Amino acid sequence: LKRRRIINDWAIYGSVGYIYYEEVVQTRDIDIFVEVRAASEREDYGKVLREFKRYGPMVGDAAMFQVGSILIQVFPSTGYPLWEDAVANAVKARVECEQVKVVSKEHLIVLALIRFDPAKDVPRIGQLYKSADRAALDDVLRRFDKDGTLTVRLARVTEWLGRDS
Amino acid sequence: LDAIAEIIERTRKAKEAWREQERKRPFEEKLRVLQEFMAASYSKKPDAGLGGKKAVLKGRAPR
Repeated sequence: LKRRRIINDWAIYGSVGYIYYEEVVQTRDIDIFVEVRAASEREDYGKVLREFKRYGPMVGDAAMFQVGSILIQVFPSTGYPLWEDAVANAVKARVECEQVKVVSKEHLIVLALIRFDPAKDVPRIGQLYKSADRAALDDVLRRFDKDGTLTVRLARVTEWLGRDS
Repeated sequence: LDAIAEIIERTRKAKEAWREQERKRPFEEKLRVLQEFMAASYSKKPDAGLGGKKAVLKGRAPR
């Protein structure tokens, strides 16, 4: 899709992003951010969804597609500064002969801090935080955590980590 | 209590060692494990705890 200029860029996030950095965990789908051209965002996103339909049926109304035995959720990052930043700073990875992009560890932490599911996100934040680049994480928080909520949440997780070790 | 504390500590260390190994595993290998897991999950009953995989295979919205 990128080669055909249907999307500008894309990156994996969510559980599969976590799996890239850490261990295999249970997940329902592969989450992907796609960056469409800003000029006609809605139209471009529709075009992306139509393209995905060629690979498998759409499941429900949350832009989720079943490709083989895998569910893929396609989310537009365009117009959402944090998500745009996550795609722009994603790291390159290789799967067989294909190059893929995965959201950085620090962005994954921030995205998990937003949802902050006690069962899913909190343990993952704890794991990712251990080897995260603290300066890069502070930078993402400084730019996107306007009211300090995410910083407070992160402090809670690190406090729990301290108790565990 | 000391014996329990020792078991907990040993378990923690074993888990950490396993995680360290997992971190080093190639992404494609991890994806293969995930794919097998997903395929196996889909064949379970809808109420098996993963949100209605049968419904997904039939093209309905997962719960």
